[in-house]
Amino acid sequence: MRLPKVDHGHAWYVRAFFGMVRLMTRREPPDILKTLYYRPGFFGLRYSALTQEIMRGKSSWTVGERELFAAYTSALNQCVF
Amino acid sequence: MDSVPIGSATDYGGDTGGDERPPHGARAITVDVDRGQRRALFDALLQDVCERPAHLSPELRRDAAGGVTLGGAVGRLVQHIREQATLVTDAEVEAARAEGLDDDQLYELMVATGLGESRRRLDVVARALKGDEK
Repeated sequence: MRLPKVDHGHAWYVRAFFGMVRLMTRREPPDILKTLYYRPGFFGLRYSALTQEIMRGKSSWTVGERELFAAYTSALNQCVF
Repeated sequence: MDSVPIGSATDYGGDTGGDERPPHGARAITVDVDRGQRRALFDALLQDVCERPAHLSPELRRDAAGGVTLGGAVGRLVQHIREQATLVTDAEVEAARAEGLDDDQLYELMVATGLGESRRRLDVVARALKGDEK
C-alpha cells in the first residue's frame, strides 16, 4: 500500500469496521479492502457489484471454477490472491 | 443473451452460482448467460471512473484508461501499471507525486489505468476465443 490516504484515510465507519477486523483477526485488513472502501462511490461499490455478478451470477462455470480462474490469473500476474 | 450448452453438466447455482455438479448422466440443459449485460456493467464502470467529477481531470483519466502514452513520471507510472502492476515501486509513485499529483489524484489515475488495461486484455481474450488473434 503506497498511498497514505488509501491506507488510512477512510470514513469513520470504515475505520471502525477495520478496527473490528484487526481485533478479530489480529491482522491488518487486506489492501484490496482498503482500496474498495476508500471513496467507494468512485470505484468500490460498482466494482464490487460487477465482481459479484461475474463471480456469483448465472454462468455455465461453477463458482469453484471461476474462483480457480481468478486465482490462476492472479498467480500469473504475480499478485497474491 | 447467450444460451450456453454445457453438456452433461448444469448450473445448480441459480442466481447465486454454485459448486454442485449434477449426477453423472444428468440430462444436458442450457444456462442463459447475459454476457452483454456484464460487458455493459464493466463499460459503465469504466466510463464512470473516467467521467465523473473527481480530483483528476477527465482527460487524464481517459488517456490513462485508453492506453495513451503519457510523458514524465506520471506516464512511466501508468505504463508500469499497464504492464506489471505488482512491480510498481514506491519510488515510481513518489516521482509521480513530485509532479504535483496528490493521493486522491494518484488513486484515480491508478484505478482508471487498471480498469482500462483490464478492458484491453478482455478484448484480446475475446478476439482470441473467436479465432481472430494468432
